[in-house]
Amino acid sequence: MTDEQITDLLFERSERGLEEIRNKYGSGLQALALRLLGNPEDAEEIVNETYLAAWDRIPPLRPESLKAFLLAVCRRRALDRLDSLTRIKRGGGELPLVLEELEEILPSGSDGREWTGAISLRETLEHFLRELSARDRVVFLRRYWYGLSVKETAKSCGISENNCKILLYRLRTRLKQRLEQEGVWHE
Amino acid sequence: MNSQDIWKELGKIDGALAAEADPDRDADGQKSRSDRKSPRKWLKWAGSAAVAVMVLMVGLKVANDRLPRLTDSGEKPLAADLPEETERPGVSTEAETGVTIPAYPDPQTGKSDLNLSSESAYDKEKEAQEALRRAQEIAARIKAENQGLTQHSEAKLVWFSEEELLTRSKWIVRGKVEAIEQVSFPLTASLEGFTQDYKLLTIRIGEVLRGTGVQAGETVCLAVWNFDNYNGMLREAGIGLEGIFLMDALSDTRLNGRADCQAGDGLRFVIWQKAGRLVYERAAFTGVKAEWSLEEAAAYLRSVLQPDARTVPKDFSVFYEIRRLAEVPDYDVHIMYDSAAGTYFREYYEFVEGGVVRRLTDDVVFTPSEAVLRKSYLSFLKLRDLPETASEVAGQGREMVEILLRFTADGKKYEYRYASPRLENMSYQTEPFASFNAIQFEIWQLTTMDHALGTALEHGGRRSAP
Repeated sequence: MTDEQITDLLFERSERGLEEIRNKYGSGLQALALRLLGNPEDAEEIVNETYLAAWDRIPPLRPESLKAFLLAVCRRRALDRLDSLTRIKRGGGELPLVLEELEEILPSGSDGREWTGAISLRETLEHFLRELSARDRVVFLRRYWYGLSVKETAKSCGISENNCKILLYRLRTRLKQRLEQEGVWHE
Repeated sequence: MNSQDIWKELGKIDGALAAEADPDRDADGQKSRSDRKSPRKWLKWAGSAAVAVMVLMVGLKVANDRLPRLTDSGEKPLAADLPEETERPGVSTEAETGVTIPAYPDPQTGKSDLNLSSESAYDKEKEAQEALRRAQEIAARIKAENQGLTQHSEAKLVWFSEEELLTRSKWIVRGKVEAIEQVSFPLTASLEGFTQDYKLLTIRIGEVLRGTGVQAGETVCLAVWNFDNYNGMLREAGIGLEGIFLMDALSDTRLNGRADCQAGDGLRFVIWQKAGRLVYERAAFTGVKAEWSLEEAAAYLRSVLQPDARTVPKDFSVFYEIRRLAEVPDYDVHIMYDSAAGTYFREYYEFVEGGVVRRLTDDVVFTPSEAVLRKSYLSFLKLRDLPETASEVAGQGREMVEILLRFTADGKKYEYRYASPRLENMSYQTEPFASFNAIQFEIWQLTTMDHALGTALEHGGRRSAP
């Protein structure tokens, strides 16, 4: 079933739409959530929350890419869940490690401040990504969007783990420089 | 702003960018079968149960939705494609989790505790003497082993030439698979759930090409480590298949009583005969042709195993200088090896403990072993016989490898220069080897020696005392 047909089912408030989402994207969402959080129970809850979000938001929302929408919701829910996980000292997934690495991207003086630039932070990130080679972009996003471990990222891109680490470090450094150039920070 | 904000903002980027990087696609953006294992079965069951609960919850919500809606409270429209913002207070990772964010060494200066620069490592005479002693120990050990490679690199047969693969094998037989079993051992008590898997192939021997203690007509049980990265040929195994098998003595004692011998890895241990063609790791058996019969392959291997008339000339030496140019100059790699002087120099970067550190391995007095010289001599012979027009490989962009090779043999000197893109990724891909030309393969053979040398030196090799 196509994404458009699934979306149509949701617009008709048909529960079959959820079943079709689960059939088509359930394993991918479960894999993403489990990878980020490292705990099967939490992953299952995150995926359920993602299904609920889809039911709640569609309609009126009609996503251009249903898959991207679902994955984005899942990622976001994982971050929300991480807060409670760290308090309970549970987990073991990739998300805490990813967040640690993303700390390096923060420009000096940005802590506690809001981004203000000629364009939004999202657009700045998109521009940065589009300027990268396809390979670098895929490596970056597999690590920091899909939350693959460094080892998984390296293997999926056909490069060594060491090369992958160095490449990610370089890309974080470049992104930090870009944010420092583009951003203006306000309290 | 904090890292979680970056994570959230990344989640809002154009879906097409995210889709391009979908792990279900290969690195070129083409759809391909995912190598990752599917979620455990219980997750699927959990998914079914979750959907059942969801349907119940949705049913209740549907019933609620059908009730007349209250007047909208004037909420602003939801942004397309974006999940609704969730109010979250800023979180300090360090405060919440107690995780200490490490201070990264500055890669620009390359200064760190791990820097092996000669300026800092050899200030003291005692250190220099100790460094020389370790270098000499390594050279003596490698010479005694007569392999030219460290134990570390022997774990991956990728470093061996065809001739070395054959001559290092204790037994080589032609035979037929009669049975296949699987056995698993837990890795360690601390890695619960992780196992080391072997496939046990019972082989009826038809002909012995090398080794003693086995005869035609007997069966042997060959254990092959079933490891994802190196089991391409093992996956081809089937009962009734004939092949030529390279076998070593058992090194994993857990296999005692279950197997008679062991293979080096699941890629280079066999030449299969399937559907009238030979199936094998082409980078390992470079002289074998796929259209041969198994008998022809066996005859070829026997010729390689016979006492070889090719002898390394007494005056043979190899010098190579390799520059791997990375996109960012700070990450270039520079390597020089001179077998005549016995010196080795390497400058490179390595990601360590959250940062990138510049490593500098000084000139090392390193006695080249016979195996290293032999391997480089074989490569020299192949390079020398190639047409001159084939000696240049076009490169593009800054991410390239430039190689200078100099050989001395029988009083003559030879020099070759190459420039090639993405050579450093060659060793991590097996299938593309089939399409590499002869030059690239021989260069790879030489540069894998560099890897082996580098590995040996990381375990203590130092510069000699001034």
